[in-house]
Amino acid sequence: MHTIEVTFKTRLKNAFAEHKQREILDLGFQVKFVKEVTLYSIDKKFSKKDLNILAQELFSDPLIQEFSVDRSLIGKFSWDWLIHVKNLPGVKDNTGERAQEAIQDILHTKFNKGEAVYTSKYFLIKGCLNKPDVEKIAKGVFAYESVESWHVIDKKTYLEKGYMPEIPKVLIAHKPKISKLELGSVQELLSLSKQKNLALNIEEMQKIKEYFLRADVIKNRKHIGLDNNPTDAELEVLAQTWSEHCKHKIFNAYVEYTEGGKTKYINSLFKTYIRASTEKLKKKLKWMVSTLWDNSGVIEFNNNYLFAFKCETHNSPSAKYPYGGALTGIVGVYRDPMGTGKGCKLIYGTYGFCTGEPNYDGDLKPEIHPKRLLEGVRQGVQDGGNKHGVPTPYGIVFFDNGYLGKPALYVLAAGLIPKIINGEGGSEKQTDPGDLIIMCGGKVGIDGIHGATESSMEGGKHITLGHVQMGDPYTQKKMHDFLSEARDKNLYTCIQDCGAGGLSSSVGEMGYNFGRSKPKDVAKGFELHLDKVPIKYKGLDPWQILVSESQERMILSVSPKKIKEFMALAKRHEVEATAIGTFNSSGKFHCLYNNKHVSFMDMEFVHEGVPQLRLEAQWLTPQSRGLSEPEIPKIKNHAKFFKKMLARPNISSKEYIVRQFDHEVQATSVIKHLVGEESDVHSDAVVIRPDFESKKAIAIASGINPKYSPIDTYHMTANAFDEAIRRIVAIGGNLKKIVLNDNFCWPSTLSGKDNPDAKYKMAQLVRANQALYDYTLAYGTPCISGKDSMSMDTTIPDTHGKEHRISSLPTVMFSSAGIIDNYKKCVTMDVKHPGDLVFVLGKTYDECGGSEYYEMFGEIGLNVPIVRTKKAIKLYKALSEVIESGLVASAHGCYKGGLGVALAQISFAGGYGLEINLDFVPRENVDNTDKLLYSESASRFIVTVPRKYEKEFRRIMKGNDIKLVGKVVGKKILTLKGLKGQIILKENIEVLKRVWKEPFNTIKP
Amino acid sequence: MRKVKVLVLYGHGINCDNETKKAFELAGACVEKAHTNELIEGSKKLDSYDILAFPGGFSFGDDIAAGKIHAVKFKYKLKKNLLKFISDKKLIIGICNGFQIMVKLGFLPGINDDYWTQKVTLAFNDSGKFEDRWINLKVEKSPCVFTKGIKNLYLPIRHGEGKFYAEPKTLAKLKKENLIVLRYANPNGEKASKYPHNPNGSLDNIAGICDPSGRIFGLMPHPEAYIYRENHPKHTRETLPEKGVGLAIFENAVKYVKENL
Repeated sequence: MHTIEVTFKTRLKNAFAEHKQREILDLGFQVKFVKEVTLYSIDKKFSKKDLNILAQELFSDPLIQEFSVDRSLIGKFSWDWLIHVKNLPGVKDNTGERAQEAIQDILHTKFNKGEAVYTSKYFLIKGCLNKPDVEKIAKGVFAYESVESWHVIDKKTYLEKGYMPEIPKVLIAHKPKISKLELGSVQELLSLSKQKNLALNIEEMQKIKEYFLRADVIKNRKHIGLDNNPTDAELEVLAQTWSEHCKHKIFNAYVEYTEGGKTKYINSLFKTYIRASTEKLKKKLKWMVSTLWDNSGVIEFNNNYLFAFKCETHNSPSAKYPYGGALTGIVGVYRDPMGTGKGCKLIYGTYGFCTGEPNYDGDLKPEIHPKRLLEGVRQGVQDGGNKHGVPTPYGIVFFDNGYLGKPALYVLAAGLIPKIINGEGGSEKQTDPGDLIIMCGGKVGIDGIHGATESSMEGGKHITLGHVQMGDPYTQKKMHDFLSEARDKNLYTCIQDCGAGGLSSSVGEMGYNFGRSKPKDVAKGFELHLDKVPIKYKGLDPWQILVSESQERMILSVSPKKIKEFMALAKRHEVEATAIGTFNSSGKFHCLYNNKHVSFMDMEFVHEGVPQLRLEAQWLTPQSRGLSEPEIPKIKNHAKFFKKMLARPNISSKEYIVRQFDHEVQATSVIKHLVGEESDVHSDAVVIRPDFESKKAIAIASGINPKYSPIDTYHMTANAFDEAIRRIVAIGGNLKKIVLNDNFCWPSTLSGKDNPDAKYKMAQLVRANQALYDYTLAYGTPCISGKDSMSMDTTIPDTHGKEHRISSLPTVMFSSAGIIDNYKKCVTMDVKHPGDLVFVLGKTYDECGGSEYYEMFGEIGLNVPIVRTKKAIKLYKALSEVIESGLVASAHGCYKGGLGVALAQISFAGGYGLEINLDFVPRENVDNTDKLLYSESASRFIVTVPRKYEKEFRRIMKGNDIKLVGKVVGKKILTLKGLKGQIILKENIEVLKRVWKEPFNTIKP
Repeated sequence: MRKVKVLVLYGHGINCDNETKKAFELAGACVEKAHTNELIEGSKKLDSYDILAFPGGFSFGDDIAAGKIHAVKFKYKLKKNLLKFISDKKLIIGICNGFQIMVKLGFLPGINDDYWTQKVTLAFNDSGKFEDRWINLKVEKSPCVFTKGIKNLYLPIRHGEGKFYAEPKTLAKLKKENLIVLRYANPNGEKASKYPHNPNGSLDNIAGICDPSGRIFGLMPHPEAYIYRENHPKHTRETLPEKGVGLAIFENAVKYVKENL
């Protein structure tokens, strides 16, 4: 074992150390000095001379760093405490792997099995602290308990005894074996499910028992030497395939729904609402190509390309290890378009971070404070997106303390596939019997075992953390480049992501009627040799290899005729690819390990055998839950209130997040998320043009507002939906071609003693689905992909150690993509020229329920915004037409914070003032200025129009609720007149902008 | 007319290869992409090209230090081929991660005829953060063939390790030989006075340098990210040329090859 230590020369500015010092201060400790030393521990023998070459050539930068070889350099620095942070055994060490590759290049040597490079860090701290303080700092600032371990020593002990850093080498002293499990009584079945963390309920366990006792099954199994007890692998396969994560059992349940004394029965929310809407629309919309079966939905983009997108959540892992959870999330969702049709080239990703308030200082003590959590997930998506070469142009951040326990972490990926590849449709693929099963990408380890089952459970101590992983965008980017070439050379027949459930799910799905080109000859079974799967270290049982979710893997089916060429290309790209079995027509889920049978089950049972869940749902009206409209005191000082509103966490600028994502790699950016005179105000949506040869572009946005859920999830969903569309229309999109992805993040709807209102939560889910159905059909904008996460609950202690069950608000996020015919016609929200006329489009109603305005007074209210489809559609069509005709200088939707916030934003984005008379604003039943300014009624816009286009603008807008409310002025002053004609606000827009930017303005060096 | 042949590297985590290829195509060149391993295997020959481009990206995941491992690969696997390319007086451009690779190889600034010893570096930004933002650049008087005739540029930077650093003696030499090609500037075009105009804390506002021949050029900003008018962040509110301004750099390179090689 050799160790090379590297650190930055002390005289240079070190932003990292300064940043850590601030974080330590946040924990309440004052320290003088933080120094970081990187350790490269090389578990292979080298000469002193070679090690010096490596230290100089590879590990250090001669201008700014110093190093030591096989002796520590920390003795010479002044410090009081040393914290050594290293990975837990088995956690992926990306830098170590890369170092190993480079060493092989430099020294022309090979690393043998078991030899490796491990990276770890020393943090040297100077300050008056005791050991428990330093332990707290280690845990709170430098290490994540779920993936890293740390060791604290004081200087005196170090000088006396020294310190030998150990490496986290995985050594499993275990001989792989296949175990058989007995299926006994009801009680035994339940305890088996619990003991093995299978998350299978009693009906499911009994169904499995019945299967293994069927005469034909016994006969078939006996034939190859298996008995009527399932193997450990078989039970694990069923647990993964039948998990909530994979089978969406709640969305497919048989529901008894009661509302106002009437009961109705719904056979699967998914089929009744989501799929029914999408299928109805597919009959009308010729450009919908492939929906709701593949890894992501596909539509036509232009004459040459198809477009696919999918949004996923990665909530449980992000709660435990925000950086790794988000990184694995974004890199993982990339594999959805990569595995859609014949495989996409990735063109963008987006993010959504729902966390507790970053300045939360209440009684609850979540394991990771929301501020650290937000920074962690942001960093994870940053590294995942940036290092994958995929722009991350858009995203949202939403704060609510319901997310203190479990955050909602959204990651979306989109891609393009050529319409026709080698004469076949780009969205078509099929596994043929006789094709080889190829595993591509990373190796398999114990990391990521039970992701599918554990993400379906409530958070808490029983979670084993096997599913918390470290993504590796570099390895996957190499695979992405390789697969694009292999696809164009027609080297494979079918492709599938290897995600939740590992090989068990991916090979299992591919081997069962997967694909859509020649449904007759499709593969209906497979033989998989688990001993051929490349593993990271010895000692894995066959069942572990089968269900491990180790990342960066794709499964392909390759014809034996093409295998040579396929493997040669993989080698050039340095992508690991291995043939691990064959697809066939046997109808059997057949796995072997060193020629011993590991599983032999009917594919049909594995895929269709799961019993349907039965759930009750009971809706309670908001009035019956005690909600009413509050009496709110009139705002006395409008300027003060206005600024408070702009600085609210859910309204203020998130520029610091946007800037840390590479949002313009690929050079496709047309409208960025930061626009205006100083490029620092958020646009309604962003636009990219992924095909340089075409004028067509994609407008990208999303809609989310769970604050309306406590009143009615029907309207919460309707508003989120309308927002996702409104944003696209504001930028120049068009209802003619907008598609959506729905993501449900819900507290558990399964009854239990700790979940007394499960039936009500289920009714909330029913109503949300009804809204999805109603609005997608009314607008003609289908959901082509979607995902649910049905366990947004966890227990966290308070300051006294008492445990509390925390559940998030029921949350639906719609991610939207609108196809734009000509990217040159897009508009942005910033006002453009003094003298332009300001129009408000769409009526404002007395709808402050769930608004930021009511929340400032601690109220929820009752009057939730209603989305009035007929009016909205008419208005959207007219607005698309005026934008398309070039009559509009700027357009901006009204969102959280209502008209007031929207007026401020368009003004300070454009750098010009506004003179507005609020009395002209189109409205109904709103008789006070406060509500008019802050009501969050849906489907409204503020548009500025050059005077010369006024007539034409009004002509096209005829029949809509639009009013001229004022004009853009050269002076940098925003002036608002109230309903009685008095000036209620006269403020410098630079001041307003500063107030809006201040809360998250942490980007200053 | 002479066809100008450009080789754009890809693979190993490089990710601006497509737009760099497009930029050279719009400038009138014949462009091919090659995986570094194709050059090592010999299935593609560096010799048959006039211009070599190291595009932006995250080669080898930026692990250990940005550009470091890719630089090692070139130094230990392709040194001869690169030496020949330079001695044939051909052009090399490195953008962002490409610039980091060239600096760590020693290609830049390439003073004293030494292209293999690292003399300057690109360190972590003073902000400690990766940032994507558009910045103003002043083009200095230099032998660089890529920037001939250009006075100012407005381009995005997208990096976490772009702080230019050199020892005083090296800096003096760079100044003396006019090897500083680009400096971060204030919106008025003068030398940047502070963050964010100097986005990373670069010494003397240095954003790009060349070797004494002017044929090897590296820069942190992304000219290939401004090849269409609509790439500009303020195109909905400003009068701008139809053609992306970043293209000028690629056009200069193609023109140079046509006239001199």
